[in-house]
Amino acid sequence: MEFFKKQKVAFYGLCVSAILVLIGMIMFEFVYSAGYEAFGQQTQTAGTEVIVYSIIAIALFAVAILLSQFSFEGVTAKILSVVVDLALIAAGVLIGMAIVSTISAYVYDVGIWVGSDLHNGDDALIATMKLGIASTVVYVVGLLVASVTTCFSIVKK
Amino acid sequence: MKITKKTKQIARGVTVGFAGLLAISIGARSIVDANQGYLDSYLGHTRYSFVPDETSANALDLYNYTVPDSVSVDGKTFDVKTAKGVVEYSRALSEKMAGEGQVLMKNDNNALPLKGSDKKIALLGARSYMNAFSGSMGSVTNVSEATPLPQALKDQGFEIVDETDKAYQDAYVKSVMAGDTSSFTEEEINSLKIDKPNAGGAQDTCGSGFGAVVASTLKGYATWEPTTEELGLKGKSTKSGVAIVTVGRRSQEAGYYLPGEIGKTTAKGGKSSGFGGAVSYNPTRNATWEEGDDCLALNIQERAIIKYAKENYSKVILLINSSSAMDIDEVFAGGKSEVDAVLWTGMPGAYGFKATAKILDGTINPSGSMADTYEAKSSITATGQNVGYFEFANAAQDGDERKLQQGSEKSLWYEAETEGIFSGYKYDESRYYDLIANPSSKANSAKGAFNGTNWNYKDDVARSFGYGLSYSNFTEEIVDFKVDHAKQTVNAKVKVTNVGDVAGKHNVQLYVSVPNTNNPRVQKSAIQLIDFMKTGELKKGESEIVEFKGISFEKFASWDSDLSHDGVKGGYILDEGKYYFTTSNDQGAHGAVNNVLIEQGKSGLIDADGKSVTEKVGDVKVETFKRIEITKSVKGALLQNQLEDLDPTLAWNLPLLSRSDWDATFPERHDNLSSTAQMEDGLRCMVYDLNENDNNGTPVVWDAKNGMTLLGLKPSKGEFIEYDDPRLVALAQNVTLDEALRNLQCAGGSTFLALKSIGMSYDAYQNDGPMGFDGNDGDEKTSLSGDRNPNNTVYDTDDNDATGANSTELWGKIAMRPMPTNVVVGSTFNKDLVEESGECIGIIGLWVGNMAIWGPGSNIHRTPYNTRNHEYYSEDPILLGVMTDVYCKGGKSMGLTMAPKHYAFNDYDLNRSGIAPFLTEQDARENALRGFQYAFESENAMASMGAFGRAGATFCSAHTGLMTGILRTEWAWNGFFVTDMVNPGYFMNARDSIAAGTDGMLTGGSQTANGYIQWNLVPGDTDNNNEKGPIARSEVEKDLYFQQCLQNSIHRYLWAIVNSNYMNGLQAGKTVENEAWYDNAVTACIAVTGTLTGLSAVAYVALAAFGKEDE
Repeated sequence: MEFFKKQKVAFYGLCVSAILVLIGMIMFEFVYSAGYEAFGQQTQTAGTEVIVYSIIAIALFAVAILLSQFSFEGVTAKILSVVVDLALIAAGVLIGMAIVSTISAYVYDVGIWVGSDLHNGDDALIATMKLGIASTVVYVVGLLVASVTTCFSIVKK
Repeated sequence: MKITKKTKQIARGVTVGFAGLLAISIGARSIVDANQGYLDSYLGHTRYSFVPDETSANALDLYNYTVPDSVSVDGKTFDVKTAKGVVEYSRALSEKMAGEGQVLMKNDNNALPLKGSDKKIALLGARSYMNAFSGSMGSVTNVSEATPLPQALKDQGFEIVDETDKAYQDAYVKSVMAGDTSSFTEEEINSLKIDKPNAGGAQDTCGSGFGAVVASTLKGYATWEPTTEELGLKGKSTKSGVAIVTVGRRSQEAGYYLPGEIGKTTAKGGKSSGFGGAVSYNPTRNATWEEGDDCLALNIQERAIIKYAKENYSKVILLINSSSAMDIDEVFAGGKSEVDAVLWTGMPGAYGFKATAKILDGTINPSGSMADTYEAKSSITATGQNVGYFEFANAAQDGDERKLQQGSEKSLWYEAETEGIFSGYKYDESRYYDLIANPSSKANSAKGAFNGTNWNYKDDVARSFGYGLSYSNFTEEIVDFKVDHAKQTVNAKVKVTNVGDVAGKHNVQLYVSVPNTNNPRVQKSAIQLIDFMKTGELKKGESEIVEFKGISFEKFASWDSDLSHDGVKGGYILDEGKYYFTTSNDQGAHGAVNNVLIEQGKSGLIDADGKSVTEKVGDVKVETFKRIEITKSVKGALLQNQLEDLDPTLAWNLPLLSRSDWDATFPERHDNLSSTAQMEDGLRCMVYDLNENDNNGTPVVWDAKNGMTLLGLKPSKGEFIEYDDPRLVALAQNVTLDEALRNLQCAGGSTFLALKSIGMSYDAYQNDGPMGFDGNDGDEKTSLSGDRNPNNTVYDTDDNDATGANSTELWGKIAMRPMPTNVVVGSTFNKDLVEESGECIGIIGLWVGNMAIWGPGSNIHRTPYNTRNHEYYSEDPILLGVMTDVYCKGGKSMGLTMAPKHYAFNDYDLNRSGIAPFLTEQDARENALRGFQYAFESENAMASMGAFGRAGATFCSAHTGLMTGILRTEWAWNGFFVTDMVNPGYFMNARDSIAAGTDGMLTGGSQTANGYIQWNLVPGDTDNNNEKGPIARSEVEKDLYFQQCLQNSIHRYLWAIVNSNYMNGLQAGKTVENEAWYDNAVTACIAVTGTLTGLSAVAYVALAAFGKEDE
C-alpha cells in the first residue's frame, strides 16, 4: 500500500498505456492468428513486429517506473533521470511503429482500406477486420495516454 | 528564468507524443508509396505526364538498338546496315560454326585430310545426295540457300567419280519411275539432279537433289537406300582410291524413334491407337535391319554399301549426317564395318556442307567435340529401358474407357525415368569407373551389356561425350588452380600448346570427379563437365592460356532431397572428401575419368578403341573438401524440394539406379504402372479453383489512367529498364482487365497483341526458332524486307546501289534461318562464337521487325530416340545451359527477346501433348533444369516457352513447384512465360497455368469471338473433362489472387517489350512525375512531426542539462 501511495499520475498513466498496448497486441494477434488465407507473409511479418515493438515498449515503461522508485543525488540522479526519460521517449516511438505495422498488415495483404470498404459477404472477415482496426485504435489511445501522462511525475519525491 | 520540474516533464511528454507521431508519419510514407497505384486510381490522380522531345531529323536517334557499324568473320568485314551485308554475314558465320562444330571421331593413319589425287572420290550412300541440313517446322533451314554436299565438294575442288554420281541419279529416277509415271512431268523428272539444291520440301530437308517431287509425293523415299545391285555397281578390279560414304537419320519435330524391334516394324510401334497429335512419322521406311539392331543402328543397305566401299577403295571415309547419336560402334576399331575415318557433320544448316568439304581437304582443321555419347546400342542402356510408349494401366476403369483420366487420351501417357542422373556419359563413365575401381558394385553385370554377358567399355561405348580429334596435337597443362572455399568457386588457368604441325583451335574441357558416398538418394556421377573454353587459332608451337573464372560449386553439387535446413527439406550438398579436377584433351569425358583413375593408382584402363591407357591426357588437381550444404539459390531464395510429386521412387516405390549395385538396381521397363490418387488433381486439370480466393487479396488496380504510357517508358539508348521500376508498375496498372484477359489467351506464336490503353498501338511480333526466323523466302516474318514493325524505317529501306547488287529487293527476300542445328552449335564448345550467332540473329531481328525469337531449344538429350534433338544442344547440362545463356546474351544485346524452350522435361516428342514424365528431383535439377537455369538467372533470356507435356501428373506450365517455386522464386526470373501451342487438350488450361506463374497461352495471337471462353483455354464440359468449369470474367473479377497473377503477367510482358527492339522508332521524350496532394500531405506530416519532435527533444535536453529543478 505504501508503494501505491508513493506513486503519482504518470505511474498510473503508464500502467494504463501499457495495458492498452498489451490489449492492442492481443487483439491484433487474434486477427493474425485467425488464419485467413489472405494474411500472407507480410502480415506474418507484421504480426511478429507488433509483438516485438509492443513487448519492448511495455518493458521500457516498466524500466522507467522501476528506476523512478529510487532516490539518488547528484550525477547519479541526473543520469537515472535521463535514462528514464529516454526509455519513455523510445517507448513512444515503438508504439508508433507498432501502429504502423498493424495498419500496413491490412493494407498490404488483406487489401482493406482502414475505415472504409470492408468488402462484402464475408461476416467472419469483416468481424476480424473490425477487430484489427480496433487494435489500431487501442494502440493510438495508448500512445496518447502515454504522451499526456508523461507530462507528469511518476513518483512522489 | 526559473525552470520547474513540471516544465521538464511537459517537454518529456510532448517529446514522447511527437516521437510516436513521427514514427507513424514515416510509416505512412512507406504504406502510401507501396499503394500509390491504388490511391491514384481511388483519388483520380494522374501520376505521369509524357513530354515529347523535338523530332530529330535522324530517324536512328529514335532507335534504342541499332546494328553495329560493321562485323567481321575471320577477318572479313560485312556492312550489316545493308541487306546484302546481313545475308553474307550470316552465311559466313554459319559456315564458321559448322566448321568448328563438326567432329572428327576417327582418323586412322591420317586418312584425312584428303590431298592431291585423294580429292578424286566416289560418293556413296543415298544420304550423300539426300543431305539432312536441319529438322522441320521451327528449325527447318532455308533450302533455297542450301549447298548440298556434292556441290560443296565440287566447289572445294573435289572430283566426284562419275560412276557413283550417275549410279545414284539413275537409280533414284528409276525408283521414282517405278511408281505412276503419268503423275510426273518432265520438269519434275528433270529436277532429279544430284547437284541441284533442293528446291522444295520445307517439311523435308532430306532431299538435296530430289526436288519438290520428293518432298510432296514421295516423302518415304527420303530414307531410300539403294542396294549395289540397284545402283548397278559391279566393283573394281583393283582396290584403290577414296570413297566417302554418308549415313544418317532424320530429325523432325513431333516425331520419334522407338528403341528395339518395335521401332523398325510399324509406324506406331505396334499401337493401333493412343498416339496423340501429329505423331505419324515413321523414320524407317524402305530400310531393313538385321535382327537385334534397331533404327539407330546401320541398316542392312547401309552396311552393304560400306562393305562395297571397303572392298573396292583403299580409303573409306564415313560421314555421319545425323542429330541423333547412332549405334555405329562397328565402324570403329575392330568393328565389322570399320572405316579409316569418321567425320560427324551433324545437320549443319544451309551452308554447313561447305565447311565439311573444307574439313575433308584440310582447309579447316576440325575442332569440334562430341555433344553426345555414341553407344554401341542405345536401347540397352539404363535410359533405353524406359523410352517409348507407356500408358497407365488403370486408364480404363469401371467399364468406361479412360474414365479415370476424364475422357482425354492426353492423360494416359507416362514415362518413369528410373535411371536417375545416369544418362549419356554419366552412365557409361560412372559404370566404367566402378568397373575399374569398385568391383563390388557389379558394374560388369550382364544387364545393359552389349555382349549379353558382361558390361565392358570396349563393347558398350563407341565414343564418349567431349571426344573430338584434330589434324594437329595439343597439350594441356593446368598452370594455375585455386579453389576458393569462401566464395565457393573454382578458378583455373590451362596452358594449351599446339605440338602438331597444323594450325588449329582446341577445346579445353574441365571436369570434376566428386566422392561417391553410395547414398541411394544422392547419386554421383564419376565424372562431370563443369566448364569449357576454346582457344583461338594456334599455329605450330604456339601456346595460349585459357582461364576458367569463378565456377560455382553449385555446378557440381548434388541435390539431396533429404537435406533438412531452415524448417524445410531439399538443397545441394558437396560431400566431404577428395575432388579431382582434370582436363581431358581430345578424349572427352572418358579421357577425364581415365586421368582420375590413374591419379588414384588404378590399372586396367582402356581408351575409346579399347587400347590400354597408362598415361594421363591432362593434368589432375586434387582438392579436399569439407561437407558443404548449399541452402540458398544464387538469387538468395531458400532452396527446398519442389518436385517431389514427380519422383517415381516415391509414387510407386520403384528402385532407382545406384552405383552401389549396378546389377540389382538396373532399370526395368516400367510399362504397367497405374496413376495414383495423388495424381488425379493434375491429371484431371484441377490444380486451381477460380473460387479459391474470392475477395481475398489486395484489390488489383486496372485501367488506372495514371498517365503512364509505353512512350513514357521508352529507355534512352543503352538504358535497361529494371523489372521493379515503379513506372513499369504504373504502366501495368493502366492496362484494362479485358486486355489482360485477352493477352492471356492470345499470347505468343507470332504475335503479342497491342495494348491500346497504354498507347501500344501495334502488335509485337515474334517468330519461331532456333536456327533463325522460321518461314519461307519472301515471308515478312523471316525476310529482311519484312516490315513488321511500322516504326522500322531504317532497316527496311531500299538500299539500291547503282548496280542493284546491294538492293534490299534482291537480298531481302531470302528466308533468314541460317544457323546450323543446335547439336552442331553445341559441338563447337565455343562460347564467343555462339554469343556472336545470337548477335547475328538479333541483327536479323532488327531488320525483320521481330522483337522475340522462340529459341534456343534448351531441353536435354536424354535419349537419341528423340527426333527433336537437333533443336537442343547436348546431353550435358553444363554445355546445354551455358550455350543457352551465351546465345541469349548475344541476341539480347541487339534488343531481341530471347525465349528458350521448352521448360521443362520435353525430352521426347512421342505423346508430347500430355505425357507425364516422372523423374527424381535430383535428376531434374542436375540435368534437365540446368539447361535453362543460367539464362534465366542472368536474365539474358527474358521470355520462355513451356513444354507440351506435364511435370509428373500436372501440366508443366501449371506445376506450382516448377513455375512458382523454382522459376519465379529460386531463380527470381521475371521474364514472360508462355505455354507451348495450346491444342485440343484441356490439361493446358489457363486457369491452372496463370495461377502457377505462367503468363500466356500460346494460341497464335488470334482472338475469337467467344470472349474469354475459348475451347483452347478452358474447354466445355461436354466430355466431363473439366470439372472446374470455364473461366468467366465475373469469376475473375472476384478472384483477387488470379487478378494479381494476371497483372504480374502484364508487368512481365511489358518488361520484355520496353527492353526490346520494339521500342525502336517510337517518339522519344521525358516522363514527368506529378506528385499527388497526399504525397505532399505525408511529407508535410513527416516534416511537422519531425520538427516538433526535434524542438521538444531539444527543449527537453536543454531543460535537463541546464534547468534548475524546484523541489
